[in-house]
Amino acid sequence: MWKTAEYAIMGRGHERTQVPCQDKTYSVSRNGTAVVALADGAGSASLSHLGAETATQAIAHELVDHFDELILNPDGQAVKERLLKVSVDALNETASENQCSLQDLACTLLAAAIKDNIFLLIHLGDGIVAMEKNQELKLASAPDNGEYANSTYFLTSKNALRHLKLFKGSTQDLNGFALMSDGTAESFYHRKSGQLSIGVKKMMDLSVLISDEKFDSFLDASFKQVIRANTQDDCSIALITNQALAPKTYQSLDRLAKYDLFEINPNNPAIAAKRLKKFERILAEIERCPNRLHAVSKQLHIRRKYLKRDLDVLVGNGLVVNQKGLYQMHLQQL
Amino acid sequence: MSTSNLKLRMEDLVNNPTARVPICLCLDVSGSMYGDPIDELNEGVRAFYQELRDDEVAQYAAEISIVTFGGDAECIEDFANIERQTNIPDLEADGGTPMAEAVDMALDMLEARKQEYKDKGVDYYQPWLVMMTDGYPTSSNSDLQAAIDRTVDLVGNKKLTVFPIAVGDDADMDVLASFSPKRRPLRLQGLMFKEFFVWLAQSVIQTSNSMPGEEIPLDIEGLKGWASLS
Repeated sequence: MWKTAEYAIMGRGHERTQVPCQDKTYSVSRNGTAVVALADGAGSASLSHLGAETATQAIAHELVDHFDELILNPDGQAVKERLLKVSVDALNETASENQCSLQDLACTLLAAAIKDNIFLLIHLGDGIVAMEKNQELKLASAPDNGEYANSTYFLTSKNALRHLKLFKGSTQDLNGFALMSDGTAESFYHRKSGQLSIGVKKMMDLSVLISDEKFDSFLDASFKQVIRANTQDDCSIALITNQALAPKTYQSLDRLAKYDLFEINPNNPAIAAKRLKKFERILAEIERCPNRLHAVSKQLHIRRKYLKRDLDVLVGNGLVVNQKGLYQMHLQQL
Repeated sequence: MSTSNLKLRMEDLVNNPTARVPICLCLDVSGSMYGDPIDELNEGVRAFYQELRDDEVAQYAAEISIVTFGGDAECIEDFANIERQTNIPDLEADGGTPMAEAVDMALDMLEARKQEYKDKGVDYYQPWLVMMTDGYPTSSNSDLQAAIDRTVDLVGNKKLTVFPIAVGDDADMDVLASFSPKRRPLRLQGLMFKEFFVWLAQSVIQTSNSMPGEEIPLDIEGLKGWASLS
């Protein structure tokens, strides 16, 4: 099962000048197809926030409604032309509704769609697409900029078709994709080496391990407190991740990531390791047999007071759910 | 119920350098600048640095070099982050006006700096060349034409932004104009160097804060503080 998550926040630059957030994200799932899309409106285009909104919705609906057709077409160039046309047609419609020019709606575009065991990915302009496969992080698509820091390619650029990148492939062993605007990529993509930071894997892994609600608050805290401080630009991200790989994902976490997940203070390694072991014992027991507090306590020989404290952490981050006193795994087979 | 403190930390992220705005000040320090003009120019350059240091982004983005022409063309300050440029030498007025040699040197330095950015994976904005003169160039005609052609070519290919500034009534506006195919040269009102450099710094600040797709228009209102547009 593919899970999607999105987040966008106004940059510090736009907050000062009171320009709306020009990064927009959108996701849609139907007919067994899941799609995420992200667009970054051009800085000087007056209504580019509307352009970004229009483009993400248009491309997402095209991908979700015509996935099979697009995938089966062997002519990649024709698919690119079609996707570009759908996006630009939608922008033209928005332009006439708002009595503005097409250029006023200039924006980049990134989208990922998955159905059955096939993915389709498109990317125009700056921003990046990260991919996790076999629990390993890779760059799926690098930013496509002009020479200067304030130049890139937009849907409305003359040479958009030439710069539109299209990928398709198998989802075997694929953990997922993370689409990022350039503001977000500033924190996760090292331009010189082309390497991605460990934080990308952490985000993608957490998206399948913890509840939607907890993951949203994780994104909110991370972007508001850390990522936004690294740039003046708007920041956004759209993730599509494979929940079926949750057990492997958990096993692939390093010790520190597990400490984070269970809110364990790592300062005393011996105590931290012991705490981690205890959490894993509790999870294994609840997975084996969903049960009430006293029963789990009895089974594991942990005093109820301490077990309750640990279960609260697990419920808090969404690994375990408490349904009227019955503790059970949020995900099967962790 | 515990509340989760789960979030990314700084060590989960990468550290990319700030995108740079390389600016070369190509300044006439020939004998005719002696006295108040050179004093005011020195004040202006100091004000330029101060304005940039006061901005959260520009202090890391702006990179300045200074080439002077007075007798010889000379690089008196090579490109560096402005926080490292703590001892800018005072400019002294003396000698002729070898403008072509100075412009050539400035363009060489901008090219070299761009190459360093590329080699180190540092993003950058279009380089700026600021030319200030109060007289007529003493370079040979062929050197002058070569420098003009080189500059015009770069501007035409969107590789350079030129700010040509005339000081006083005796500056050769025609030659300044020939260096700048897109933008008319501006004449400094009196000795308002400081006002000019504060305006220039604000333009650098705007550029260093600009996002993809954003072009910074020339602040025409701001020009009126120091330039005559006639």
